[in-house]
Amino acid sequence: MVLLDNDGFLTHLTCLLQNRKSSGTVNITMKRYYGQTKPKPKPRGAKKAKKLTAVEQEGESKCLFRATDGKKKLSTVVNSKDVNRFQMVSLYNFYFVVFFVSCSATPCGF
Amino acid sequence: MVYFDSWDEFAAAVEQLCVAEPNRFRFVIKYRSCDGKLVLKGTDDQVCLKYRTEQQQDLKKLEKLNSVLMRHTVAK
Repeated sequence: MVLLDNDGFLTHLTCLLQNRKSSGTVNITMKRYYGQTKPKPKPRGAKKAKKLTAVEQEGESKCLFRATDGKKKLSTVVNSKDVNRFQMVSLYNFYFVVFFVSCSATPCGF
Repeated sequence: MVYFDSWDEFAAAVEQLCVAEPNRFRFVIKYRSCDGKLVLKGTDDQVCLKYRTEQQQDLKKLEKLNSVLMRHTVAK
């Protein structure tokens, strides 16, 4: 799993989409993320299952993006203050790649 | 899980799920370029909402939905 900054992620995502232009699929996932790097302990008992870990309680909620074509994995974390900016760029990019890049585009070297 | 037929129903259901279960919710966009097919999925591992499209105009709506979901996701 390669963790990239927001702009790097979009660049690589564009390439991923271009490389998968003629065959295969690309998956993009979005979910909430608190900055937890350790696995969550197994819940024991009904009460604990609902409890959030310390990181989850203290950490600021962020947005985790992952993209994969089955071989390459990309990921990025978007902070709450960057949400609006990332939004504009990401969908514009997606839109662009999906419909306007010609099929003859050469595969990127990323 | 059956695919939704109408975008509006799908969008409303996904947004509702995102608000109800923000910690477990995830949103997946699957794009198959060679067929030009787009499959969207929103799930909290209990409920699974799916929608598929081949139309370009749905991208605009996806853009809108995605921004709404992102805002819900980062909101405490």
